[in-house]
Amino acid sequence: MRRGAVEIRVGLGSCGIASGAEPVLDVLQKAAKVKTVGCNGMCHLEPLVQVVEPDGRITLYSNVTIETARLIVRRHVAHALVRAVSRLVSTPCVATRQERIVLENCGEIDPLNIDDYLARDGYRALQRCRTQLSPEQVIAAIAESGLRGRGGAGFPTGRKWTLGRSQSDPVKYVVCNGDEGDPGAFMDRAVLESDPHRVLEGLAIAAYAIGAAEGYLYIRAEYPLAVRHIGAAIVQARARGYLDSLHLEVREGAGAFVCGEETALIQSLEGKRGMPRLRPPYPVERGFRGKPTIINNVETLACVPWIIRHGPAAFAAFGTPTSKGTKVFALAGKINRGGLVEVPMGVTIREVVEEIGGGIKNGRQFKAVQLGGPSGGCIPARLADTPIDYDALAQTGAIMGSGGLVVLDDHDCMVDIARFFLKFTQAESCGKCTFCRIGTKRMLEILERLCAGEGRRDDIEKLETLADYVSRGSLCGLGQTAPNPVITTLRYFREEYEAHLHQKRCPAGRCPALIRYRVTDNCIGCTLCAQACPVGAIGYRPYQKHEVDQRLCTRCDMCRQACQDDAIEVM
Amino acid sequence: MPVTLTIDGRRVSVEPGTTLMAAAQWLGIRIPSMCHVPGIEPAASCFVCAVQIEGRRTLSPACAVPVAEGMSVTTNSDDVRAARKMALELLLSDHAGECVAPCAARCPAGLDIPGFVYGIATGDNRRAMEAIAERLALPGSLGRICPRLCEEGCRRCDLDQGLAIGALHRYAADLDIAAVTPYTPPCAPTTGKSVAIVGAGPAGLAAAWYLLQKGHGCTLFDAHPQPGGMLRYGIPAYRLPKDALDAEIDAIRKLGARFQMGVRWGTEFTLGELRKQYDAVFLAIGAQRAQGLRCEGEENALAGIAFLELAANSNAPSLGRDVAVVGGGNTAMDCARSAVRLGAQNVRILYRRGRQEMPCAMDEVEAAEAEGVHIDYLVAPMRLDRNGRGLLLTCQRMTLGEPDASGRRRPVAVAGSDFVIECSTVIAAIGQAVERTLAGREGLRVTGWGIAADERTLATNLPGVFAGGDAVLGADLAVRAVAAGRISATSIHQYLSGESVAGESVLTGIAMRPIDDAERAAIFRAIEKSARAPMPRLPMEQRRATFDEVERGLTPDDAARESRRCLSCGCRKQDCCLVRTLANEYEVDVYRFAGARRRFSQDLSHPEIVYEPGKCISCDACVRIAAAAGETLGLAMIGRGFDVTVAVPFGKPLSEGLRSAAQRCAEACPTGALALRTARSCDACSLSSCR
Repeated sequence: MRRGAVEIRVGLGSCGIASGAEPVLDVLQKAAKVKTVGCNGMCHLEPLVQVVEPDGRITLYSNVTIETARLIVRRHVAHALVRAVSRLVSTPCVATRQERIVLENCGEIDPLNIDDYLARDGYRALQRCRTQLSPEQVIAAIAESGLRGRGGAGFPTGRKWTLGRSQSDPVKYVVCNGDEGDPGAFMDRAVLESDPHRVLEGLAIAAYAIGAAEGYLYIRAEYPLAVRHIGAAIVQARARGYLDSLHLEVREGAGAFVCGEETALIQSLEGKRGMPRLRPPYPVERGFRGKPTIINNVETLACVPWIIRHGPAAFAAFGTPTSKGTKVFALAGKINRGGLVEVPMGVTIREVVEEIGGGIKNGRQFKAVQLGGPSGGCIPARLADTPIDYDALAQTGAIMGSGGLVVLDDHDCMVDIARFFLKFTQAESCGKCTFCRIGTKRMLEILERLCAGEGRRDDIEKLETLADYVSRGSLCGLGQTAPNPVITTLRYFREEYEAHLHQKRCPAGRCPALIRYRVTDNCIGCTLCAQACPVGAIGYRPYQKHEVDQRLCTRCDMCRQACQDDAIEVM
Repeated sequence: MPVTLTIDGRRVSVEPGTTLMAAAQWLGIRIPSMCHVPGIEPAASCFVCAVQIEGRRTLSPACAVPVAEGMSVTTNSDDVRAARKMALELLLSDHAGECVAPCAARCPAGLDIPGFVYGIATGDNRRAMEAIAERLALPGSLGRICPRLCEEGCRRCDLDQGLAIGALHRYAADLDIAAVTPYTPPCAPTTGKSVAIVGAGPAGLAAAWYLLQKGHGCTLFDAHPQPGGMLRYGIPAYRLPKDALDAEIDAIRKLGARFQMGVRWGTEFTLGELRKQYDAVFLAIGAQRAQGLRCEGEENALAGIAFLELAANSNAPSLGRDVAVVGGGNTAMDCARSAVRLGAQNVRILYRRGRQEMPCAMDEVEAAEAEGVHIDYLVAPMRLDRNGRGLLLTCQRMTLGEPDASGRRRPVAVAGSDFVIECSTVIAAIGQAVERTLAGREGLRVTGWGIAADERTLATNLPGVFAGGDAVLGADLAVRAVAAGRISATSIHQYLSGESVAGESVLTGIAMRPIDDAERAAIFRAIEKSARAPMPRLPMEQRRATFDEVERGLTPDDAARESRRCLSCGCRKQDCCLVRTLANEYEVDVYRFAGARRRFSQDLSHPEIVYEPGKCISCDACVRIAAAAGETLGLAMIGRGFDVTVAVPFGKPLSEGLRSAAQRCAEACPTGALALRTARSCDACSLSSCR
């Protein structure tokens, strides 16, 4: 039986490619017409194949391999035998609490095909601005929508544009900040890869609003696919005339986290070493090449076309009094369904973790979330009813941040978490301010000592004093927020610090120097742990209770993960 | 339109665009800064200029933040000071360098050793003398007799042999005395004040030397017929010839010192009288009371210092054939070696501990042995009897037990090990103590050692009365006495000027501890091994027979060569380094944030300047200056995080990075990271803190 043409979509974002989507694509392409799309957010299910029926019904195949791709071709494409491959069909986790504004096209359109974007009302907002709205009206609409900067700080976008508009200098610039650097955050990458035209459209609207003739997209070099897709999108958009006289260029970052800070980003754009400088003057007064410059984050710009198309009221309908619209989060950590989610402002952390993320992996206990990456903080489970709202989150000591959300369970040591993030910021400090360059190093040394069980009597007080002055004695956001992971974990989990210091004990059983592995009576002698142990610390003795040789054990946790019978415990 | 703001509660109006630092200056409020270079865009990096602007969560760098209408700024709160202090402590925790050369750090007088050696090396003996005289009186005498703690600290000890520092300052002093116009320090106009100095030994002489330079009149009172104290009466002429000592005392006399010799405190005058007649008194009475053998028959022994004094006056008693000297200090060696010269055929030293525990200088022991002195270790006297023919000294063998308070192992008697030594003379050189009863009677507080005096100021409990040297410490090194003389002069000057008496301002500095192999390699990178200059010595037959000076002094060639062996350790900016100056101002705890630090290294590739990256505080000043000067390559900050360094881009050498701006960069560097090759201390430096 010959069927009507189906559309096959293969996710070919970085997550898809990393999971092996390219060979899957080869198999499918031989059999049918395939559309490559970006990431739809369900990164934990990649490689993802969607089969769209002529009537619009979608079947979602997850974790597709070459073999299952052949099955899909043989049974579904050829014979509509969906059930025959049904074990691959995933329950769509685009659950009810998600609202897709930024991600509306992600995973559904071909990012390299402008027609796909146009078919989704692409560039209509830009055209409407140019033909029906004055720059002031555009800015008024953005201001009315309540959109705030999605890069983390939450500065009202409308106000920023108003300031940009009011600059008398005839030469102005718009810059898209695509230097997403927080460990574990990949919202911007997904948007740039999956829906690049949307970012261009937002940037073009910004340029129109403030009166800029030139724009730059500063994208980190570690995102080659995003750089390629944006580059291709610029060529297409220019060819179709959507850019008008606007000159857009892609600039790749050179791998420095601090270049996400706007003054450092400008230095980097100018070909200098990315070093933040004192504000004021703000870039809006004196930015790129000394000219007024508006810098907006990818996600912020991605909201703009939607706001113009649907009206500011529709955007402002989502959220809380001070935080409007939606926010994209990169869910990671001990959660069942990791990936990208977009939620309306105002939903609680608990809803994100338990409903959207599907709860904690392996049935463990929800301990905390780390929000905002190295600049953010840890919010304990008991405060999980805090809504996603700039101000409510800031109250807890964390920040909204750019959208990294790491879920922690009772196996995560908070001292170790603080150490992990501080290690990152310390390594990424530009080295300019004394407190940031050396202060964070001394803080890191204290955390390393605590984790190693070598804490000194006054280490916790010293850590607090350092944290206070580092945050107040640094010029830019990196230094000012670097102590946040320490400050929040100290605020909510001080007893863990004290246990490390006074009892040389890691309550979460995480810090290698402070723990031991022991085989319990649950052991059935299956040797899985012995096979998993990379240093031979567990003897290969089938049908006997295994033993861990403490002299050899490196506390890598492999045995515990390998054990099927919960027979390895951490002491 | 001027902008009005409040700084520390005071209102000031300045032009818009003025920085907070400049605005504060209008009010006479000094805000410290290290990274600020006038005329160049601020970096705002060191955060030592931190101030608090009301309503802001963060601290603000005053060097960069412009004034704003209605701003309220605090520059001196506890919080702001704590922030500055912490910034300095953090910088010092990662500062791979040494403020002061390790030799100078060990010198009790704090002599600028690389400084004066540099004078000798460049053939500028006047410069050498200036550097010496600033810290050390009687350099010729001390160069002969000092145990030279400095030389043990010499970096060259790790490479070949330590520098002959004592021999070098003796050389400079001898050369100066022989010069047509010997060095005379500049003296302030006479103040009309007068100071009584009791004791014309090294402490008293040094005090006079420095007080006279400050314009105060000095009268030295001493019970002996001639000035010099222990230098004259306690040290034999073969170590310190009287004419060398006299020449140095003459220099002090020439500055205006008056000497009243042959007058004894408590007999000819009292402290009360001196206090009435003089504006201040310095007590430098030394430790003159010899300790006995502390055994039965001790009255039969000759006291060591009494014997040396007689010998100094060429009035030595006949010793006979066999002489036993009891003790292990320098006095014991001096007695034994003097006895050899006076014709004793059989001189032995009895010491109750081992060779390692001897308090005297090891080269003294070696010299004594070379002259035929026999040393018996682990022997203690039990009783001394006189019989018809001479003396019978009963001794017992000792063994070493647990360490005592001094850290040396305590000698313990071995039961039944008694033996008897027959001798013609027994000299007790056990030690000397301070005569304290008189001081106590005059109302002075005393300690177990001597007169009680404040450690920093040397002030006693009586107003206007100061004390130092052996009189306070008990028998100790001459160099400590000379240092005490200088410190007392500073305190007395402060007292006479009506200032608060604070003693000398001591700059704390940092030292690299420990130094690892990589750093040692960096220090010795371009250094060739070379042997220490030999000290010419009198031939042995003359040594044993006469009191002629044994060590003859370095030859000019040897002295020049030896001076060039100096590695000039210590920082080229030790006196004008802003980090050090501010660290002292803010009373930092150098080791509060001790942790991982950079390695010491040195870049000598530039003809004009020396770069020591380990000292760089990443303030960015040189980077900005090089850029402003239009250097093609210039300098840049390289790397990220804690390991950020300033270097020429693309790994090019410093000489390529800095073609025209090298000198300006070196001068602007707030610390010793970049310094002119010629800079020994601050004479080539433009920093305001030097002036």
